[in-house]
Amino acid sequence: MPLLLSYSLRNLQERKLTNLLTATGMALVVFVYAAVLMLDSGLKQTLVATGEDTNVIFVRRSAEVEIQSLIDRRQARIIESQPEIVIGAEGAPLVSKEVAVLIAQPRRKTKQASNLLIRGIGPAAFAVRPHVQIVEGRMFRPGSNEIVIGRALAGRFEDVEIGSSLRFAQREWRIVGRFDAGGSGFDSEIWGDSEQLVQSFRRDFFSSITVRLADRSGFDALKARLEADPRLTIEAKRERIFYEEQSRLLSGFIQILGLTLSVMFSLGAVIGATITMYAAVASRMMEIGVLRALGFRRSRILIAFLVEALLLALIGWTVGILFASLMTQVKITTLNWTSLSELAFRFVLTPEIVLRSLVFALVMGFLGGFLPAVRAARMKIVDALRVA
Amino acid sequence: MTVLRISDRPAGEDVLIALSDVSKSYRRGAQIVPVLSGLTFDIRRKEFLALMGPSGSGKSTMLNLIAGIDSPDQGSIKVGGEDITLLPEAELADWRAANVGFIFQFYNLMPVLTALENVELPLTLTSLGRRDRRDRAQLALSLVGLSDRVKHLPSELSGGQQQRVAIARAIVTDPTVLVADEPTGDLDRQSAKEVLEIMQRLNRDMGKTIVMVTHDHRAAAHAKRIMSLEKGDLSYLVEQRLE
Repeated sequence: MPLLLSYSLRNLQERKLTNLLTATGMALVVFVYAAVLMLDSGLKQTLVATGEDTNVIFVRRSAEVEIQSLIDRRQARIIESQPEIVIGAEGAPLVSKEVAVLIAQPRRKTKQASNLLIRGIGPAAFAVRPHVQIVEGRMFRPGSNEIVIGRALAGRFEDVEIGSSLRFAQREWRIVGRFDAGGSGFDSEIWGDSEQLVQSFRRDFFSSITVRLADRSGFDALKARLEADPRLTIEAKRERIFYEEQSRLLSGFIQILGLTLSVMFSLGAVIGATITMYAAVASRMMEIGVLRALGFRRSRILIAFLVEALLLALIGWTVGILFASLMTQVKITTLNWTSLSELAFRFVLTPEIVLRSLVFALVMGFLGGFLPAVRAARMKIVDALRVA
Repeated sequence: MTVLRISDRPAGEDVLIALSDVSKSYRRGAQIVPVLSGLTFDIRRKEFLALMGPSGSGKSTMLNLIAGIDSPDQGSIKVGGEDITLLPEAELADWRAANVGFIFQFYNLMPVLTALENVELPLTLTSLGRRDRRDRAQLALSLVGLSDRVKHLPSELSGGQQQRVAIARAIVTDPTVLVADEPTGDLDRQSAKEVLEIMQRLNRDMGKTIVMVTHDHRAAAHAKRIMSLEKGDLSYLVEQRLE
């Protein structure tokens, strides 16, 4: 290790308590910053994973979410007869005509009602979304009042478990199975037979239609043709894009709130680092004077103290990101403001977050160390030596 | 950038350091306190000069000017023929690294570095590799009789030992001039004697030009020439030839 770097490192060890407190302050900020990014990334990942690129979802034009959307049976027939749609093993096109309805269900812990999304699915729904699998119990029988629940719902709501029944739309619905949708937004939903649910909710229309394409490149032609069709009032979106858009409102809020908090906290941490580094400069006046007398240029002194502040930030970052990584074990459930239904997701740590928080920490260290380092570098040699 | 070392320059005359008409004053609040005014004198090559005088007489200021860590208000300071008052800040730093070794009253070692690392520190400014730096630092420490203390931190050494480490640090770059400000001021008599004997040896055997500021007559007696800088009449110098 170069001698000057080792000198900076050992000086950090000298003033253990002060430096530890400063690094802890930085670690806290890094933790908050990384946690916010992880929350946002978890939300996005969950919703983006909900959609598949080869799937296309049709909703009524200008409807942002399925619960606002209406597609009648005549329009549904036109959509399902399109040539781009892949034909399934049973000879039918892979089309799921779906109805999405919110019901209020009390949460297990707080007893407060929260919105649960009930999705009526067509027979081809599981073929359209191969990543969704029944993992416990069994699939509901078509034409029955049976339903299956998403994996993420376990334990969150009253009566939402295999074997119990839920009452909504004037009927009792028996829960017969649990499905795993690979950590996507579907995991927070309840699925039942589309036709049964349409009747029970006394509607004669679907909310959305999801189809699987034979080739993902067929999307543009399909979209252009159907959106121009005067009989249809629908909008076609890639399923992935559709769900990604659902994350925008909440994601925007998390980012703004989180980043505002991080910036405010970081001001505190920067001031803390500045005070620590000023103290370090003040207590090492003699050393600065000696280094300068020995022929070290001002720039070398500046760098030495900046390196020290950056090392401090690096320690803070290491601790902060370590604790933030523990957050990946935490599951969050919240209302998705766009779909208005409950959504469960995890904190997700990505390499980008690791890198961004590192840059954030180093910027804090640089800002905190800059003024003290300048002071050290500008000191007159005789004045610095006189202190000794 | 290559820094010309004093010893590389053609040795024409005997004078190594020439101060001419040097003035220096300090501001103390609104007051300007003159310390040196119109001082002119020469220091010869391979001289061991002791500068004496009461506190505030300007002897440390003069030492700082000669060492290039302070600049005069007016006048020129030529060292080996080069006027160091004309050097820009960064070049002056390089000049010090190549030509001047410092010995301070309170040793001024880096507390977090070992004896060897302290001695090695000035060599990090040279183009020497790590191994060469270590070897030279070891050699310098053996010259001051501290080969067995290389791994010790300053806090683990006595005052006399610390000052010897400081001397090793001052000579490790093989500078032409050594400046020492009260080098024995903080030492007991025995340690002071050892330090002064090392300085004498450096002057006699290695040809180092030494300028030493001291209050102590016993310390001054180790020098070849003693000069006294008197308060009030700053240009008045008493020269006392020992040899």
